[in-house]
Amino acid sequence: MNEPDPRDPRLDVAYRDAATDEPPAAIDERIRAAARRAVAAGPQPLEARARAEVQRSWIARWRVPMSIAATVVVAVTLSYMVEREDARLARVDVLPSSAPPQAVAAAPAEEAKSPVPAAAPTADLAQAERAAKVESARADAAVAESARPLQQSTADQPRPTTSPAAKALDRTDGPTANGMLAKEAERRQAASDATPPASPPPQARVAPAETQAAPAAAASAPLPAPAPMARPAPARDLAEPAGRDRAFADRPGRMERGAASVSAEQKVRTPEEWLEELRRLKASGRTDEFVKELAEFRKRFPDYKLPTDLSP
Amino acid sequence: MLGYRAGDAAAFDALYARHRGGVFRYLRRHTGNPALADELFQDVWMRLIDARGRYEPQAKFTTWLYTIAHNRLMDHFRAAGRVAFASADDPEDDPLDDLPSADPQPEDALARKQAATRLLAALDALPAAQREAFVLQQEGELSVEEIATATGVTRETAKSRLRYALAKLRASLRAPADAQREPG
Repeated sequence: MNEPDPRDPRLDVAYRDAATDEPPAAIDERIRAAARRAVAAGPQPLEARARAEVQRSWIARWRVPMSIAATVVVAVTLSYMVEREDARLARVDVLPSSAPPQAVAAAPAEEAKSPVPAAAPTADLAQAERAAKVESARADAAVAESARPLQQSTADQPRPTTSPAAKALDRTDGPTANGMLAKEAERRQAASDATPPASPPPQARVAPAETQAAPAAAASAPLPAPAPMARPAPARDLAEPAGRDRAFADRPGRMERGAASVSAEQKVRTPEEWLEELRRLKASGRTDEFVKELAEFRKRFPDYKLPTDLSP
Repeated sequence: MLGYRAGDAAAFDALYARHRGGVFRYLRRHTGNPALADELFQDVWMRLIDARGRYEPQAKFTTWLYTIAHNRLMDHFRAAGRVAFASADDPEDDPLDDLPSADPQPEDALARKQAATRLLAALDALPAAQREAFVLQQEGELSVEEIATATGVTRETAKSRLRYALAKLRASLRAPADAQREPG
């Protein structure tokens, strides 16, 4: 690697003897004058050019890494947003869409009338519920808008098919859906602060007398705690054309059929309803059922913090 | 060069005085035309003056200077439609391996003058790439590495060119001596 460069001393001497050419003096003078002129013109433009060159080289040096970093940031942000949106849609799908409407409608009246208050939910449950309400307020408004055909098509049925909240949203001569939603949220907040929510036995919720009285009660009674039940449809249905709305209007019937099965029942129950059911089982001494239901609850809502009275 | 970049005109005069002959002969050896060599020579120094703000002492100044000269020469050959520096004549075997060492230097002035004349003739007959390698070594005192940098080739290519050039030039100096010995 470090061997000397090939060289021949005799050739060096011969070349030195031969190479005597020199540039003409006129050219020498021209070049020197040009060099002096360049210096006299000042370093400013040259310095600026040098700075521009440095800046250009900086841009060239960082162009590729910056592009990659920007691409990664955009990709991560998009995937995060998509994941969040999916989670939100899944929540909308699971909680409210298939709830038995009559049970939801009857809930506020029952809660208001209940002489024996059930165990009050813990503060964090109420807080989580309120947070969920606020977070889904916008989606609710849009969903209520699209659910109007459904409510209209089922208006002649003896039992109400929508919750009071959805009914309130349905009023087109009043404030906007968002405004109604805000008022509804305020009413719910006031109700939850004033009276601890009580849950009637499940049988009472589906009693015909109760359900017939529910629409009237809906206007005056505090709104039920499981507000998400009012959401009539998942958000992805909103973009569907009008023809799709007809199929959507058939949903209550299908939901009723689905509610007959145990799994469907579990699916439509909100955590609060479920907890009430668990309390009832525990109070009545049906330990086996209580344990089974509790396990099912935990399986379904693994992140839900259990109230102290239900903790094993 | 750093002094000139900072605005010292005298620094340029010193640089020019040191390198003007070498650059001129480098160009003269490759053009064969004194007027063209003058023009290219002037262009090379004008380019250097224009580029002084971008000069960074990353390599020897001489290497940078001869890189400018090489590029100017290439521009000229491209414009003239000549591919003067294509070097397809670099076989794998080493030409110096089969050659004896150089003859003793001629002692009298006449012999030296004759040797110089023969050398120039042999130099003109060399392929351009080999000639360039030899002239850069002689005029710029560039190493093989620096020749490679100035001409934009690998070190091995530059070394091969230089060895071929030396072998052929050495043969040109030895030929008259062989011719004298043969009749004897």
